[in-house]
Amino acid sequence: MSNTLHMKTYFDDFLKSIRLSEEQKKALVDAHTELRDNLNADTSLSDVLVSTFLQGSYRRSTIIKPASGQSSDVDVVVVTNISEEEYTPAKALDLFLGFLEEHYPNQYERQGRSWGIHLEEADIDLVPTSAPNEALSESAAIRNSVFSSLDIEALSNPEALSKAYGSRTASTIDTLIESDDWKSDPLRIPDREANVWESTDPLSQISWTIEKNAKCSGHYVNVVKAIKWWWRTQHPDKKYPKGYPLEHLVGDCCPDGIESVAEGVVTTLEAIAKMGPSKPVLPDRGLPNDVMARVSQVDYAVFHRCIVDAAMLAREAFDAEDVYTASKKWRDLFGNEFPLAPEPETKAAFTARAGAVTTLSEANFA
Amino acid sequence: MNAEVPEPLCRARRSLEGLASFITVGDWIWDDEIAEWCLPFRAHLKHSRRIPKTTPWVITVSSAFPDCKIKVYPALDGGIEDTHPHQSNNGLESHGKYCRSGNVCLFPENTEQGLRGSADFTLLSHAARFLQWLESANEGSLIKDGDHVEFPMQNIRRRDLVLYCEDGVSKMIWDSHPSCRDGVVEITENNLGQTCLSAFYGADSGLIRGVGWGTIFEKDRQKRTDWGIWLLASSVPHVRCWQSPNTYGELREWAKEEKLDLDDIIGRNASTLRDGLRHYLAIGVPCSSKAGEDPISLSWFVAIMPTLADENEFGKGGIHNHKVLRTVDRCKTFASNVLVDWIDSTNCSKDQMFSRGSLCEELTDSRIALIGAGSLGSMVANSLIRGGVTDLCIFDSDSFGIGNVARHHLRACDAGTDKAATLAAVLNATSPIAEVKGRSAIDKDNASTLRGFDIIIDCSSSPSVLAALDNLEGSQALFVCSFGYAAEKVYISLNTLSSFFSENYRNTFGELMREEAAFVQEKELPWEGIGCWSPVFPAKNSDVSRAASIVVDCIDRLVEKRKTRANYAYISKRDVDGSLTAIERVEL
Repeated sequence: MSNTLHMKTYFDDFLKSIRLSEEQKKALVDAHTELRDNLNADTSLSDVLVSTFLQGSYRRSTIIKPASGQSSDVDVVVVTNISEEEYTPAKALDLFLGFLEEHYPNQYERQGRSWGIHLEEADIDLVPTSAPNEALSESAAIRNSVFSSLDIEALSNPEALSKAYGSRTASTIDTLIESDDWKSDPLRIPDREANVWESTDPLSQISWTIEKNAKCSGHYVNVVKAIKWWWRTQHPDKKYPKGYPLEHLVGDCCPDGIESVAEGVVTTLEAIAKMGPSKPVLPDRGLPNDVMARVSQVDYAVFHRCIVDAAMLAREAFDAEDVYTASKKWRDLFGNEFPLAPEPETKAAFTARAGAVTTLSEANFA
Repeated sequence: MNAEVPEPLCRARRSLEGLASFITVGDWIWDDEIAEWCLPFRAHLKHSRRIPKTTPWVITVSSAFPDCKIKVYPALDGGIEDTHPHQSNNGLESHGKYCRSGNVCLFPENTEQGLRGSADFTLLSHAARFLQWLESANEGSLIKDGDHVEFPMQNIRRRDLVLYCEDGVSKMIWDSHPSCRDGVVEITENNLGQTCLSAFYGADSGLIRGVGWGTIFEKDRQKRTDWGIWLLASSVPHVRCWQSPNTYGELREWAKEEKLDLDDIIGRNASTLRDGLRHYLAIGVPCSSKAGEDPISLSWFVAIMPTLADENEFGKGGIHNHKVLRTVDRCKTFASNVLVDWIDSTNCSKDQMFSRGSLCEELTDSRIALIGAGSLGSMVANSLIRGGVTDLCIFDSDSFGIGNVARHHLRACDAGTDKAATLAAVLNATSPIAEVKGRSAIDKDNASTLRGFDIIIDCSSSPSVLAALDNLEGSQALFVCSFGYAAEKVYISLNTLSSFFSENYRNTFGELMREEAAFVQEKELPWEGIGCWSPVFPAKNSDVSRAASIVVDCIDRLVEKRKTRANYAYISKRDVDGSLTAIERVEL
């Protein structure tokens, strides 16, 4: 092993402090579970409802804890069997109006492609979709509750799996993932404002993330979290790109085979910096649409300037000679959530301290 | 769900970043089975020799961290299965959910305190020390020539203790019977209820070695006797590098390496042991005190065997064919998975028992007469026995009074008994190899008996004893010891019996003692009882203990240096508040 300071334990603790807390995670899962139960129990929807599953940054394990006073949000995809020929996008969204009025009165609002539900501890985006073919409707992954609420990190953690789904073994779940054809067919999503049905492929995003994370020894989702945290907390006045477009950019720029989160952050920032200030075109996973379409060139150029500075700082941290200097630089990059190492102690001082205590003990017997 | 990891543990874990080239650290996990925090990590070696290049381990600490033991275990999942020196038995039941049983001893040189400090320093220093251990285990250099010998940790599940007594002399006895490698051992219980290996018989039933236990065995007491099988081997029982055999399968594996047929040895010696009871198995191994040196003694590793196959267990008529019984023993009684029921055993030889604080050999090998079993005498006697003296005779005719309890080695329950005899009994129970006797006081008529001793210590402060010591001939060392008011002055005189004259003694110490007498007259002495004249000298137990310590220390040095003449007064120095500041020795 090299002497590079990967600062694994420091990044572990940093990531712990920027992740959703267990309570926040539970609030999201509870909100989703309640919504799913309500949907399943609703007789007016029983004919069209196929399943629901979580998607978004929570599902991909790239979510970071919300800013103070804000709630985490989670996207719940509702898979239906309604036909695009029979339902206009507006009509498709209206299918859920009665349901929302009954269960979430005064807590919902209509959005362009979804319903926003504002709960006390979580915000839910209810995203109605249409499964384009029978195969996807019967997808084992969608049918199966295993995939409905666990995030990527939990899926790769046998202990979390067994706690959530005790009767299943990790290997049967792996088999399920392998055999499923969820990557092949996008879902269709109604855009009320444009009055069109569009393709969306949340499952491809999830599966791409799983694969990328595996190629990066599990560090990729943490690189995304770290860079999202940097952008949101160190540049709170600048907004775009954010959310999925930023994650997608990181995904394209993070090299495979990274040995640590630290290495992933440095190399990703440097790769983005190297791409230059021109806004890139980034086709979505499994679909041709550009995820950067809604980001302006001006915003991207500002973002790029910040990236260049961050890349230099990250490089200094990564190449630092000692843990203290490294932790200080990383803290400069990420803020106080990154733990600071104690002031460096010379080897002579360390030895002297040990020696002093030894002398004391040698003079005290009981 | 994992409990919230306390910040000191997080900080301590981050401190391991400095060892990132050698270990990859996981995160703390709370193990509720053992109520400890566990930190899994993988240790990396540059080259693999005895240990794989990368191995999983677990550090455990209690919630009191850093003020707790910090232990390192092989991980239960994929951790090393061998046991190396300076490591607990790694073949036992797991320690909690994540650890094997073999925690590593990180402090072979009593360095534990040196590894302690703040939370981060403590964990880092322990991890660094562990890496040294791992490197040495990999190189096979955990035990180097000159290191103190360490036995593998046995799986001891009972509180019993078996005493044995082996030293250089006994080893010569064993060496003189080179063809006797196994047989039957007699095990007796002493009057303190302790189990002792007492007599070893060879295959021809001839006595090879009888152990000379001290007077702890009351000669006229009915002793409980048990029997067992003994065998000699050339190496300490061990398998898998340095693991004590936990099962008879493992014990056989070791025996095979030793070219011993364990089943045959048991079978040949079991004829009198097939009585439905459990008996002992004692394995003797010649051992040195330091690695690489020649053996100087024997160590015994003792187990209680399962009940041997008994002809009666085969129903009416039984089976008298011993071959069948031996087969049953091999296949069932001592089946490979049967656990070896090891018992703690300890060597009671003088050099072993008193290695922590022995008086000089010249003193411990001497026959010593102690005159006077008063406060000073009893405490001197106690220090002598605990310092390794075995042959001691105490002369005193007084009874132990309740008022003596304030500064004496005997207790209130001994009140009314003969001081010398009771003190001898107590000291015999203190050391299993001591031979302490109690006799009546020395006077002119019996003083000549002192010539049968090598060293005479007078702690009687009695003028009549001093007079009795006059005119005795002999080259024996005679110490006359006493102390003054509140034991602030301690007087020690050394002569040979021939050169001692009580008048000279009085002349030498007279001036100091007269000063004391004048001082005492000004003081009001403590009063005991209701007698018309029964004042006693004042001195606390701690004062007399200090005086006794000075006396024993002085005797030890003078005997070791083979001095024949000395006159010392040890004078306590105190500050204005009365605190002791020094003890000054004045040569007279």
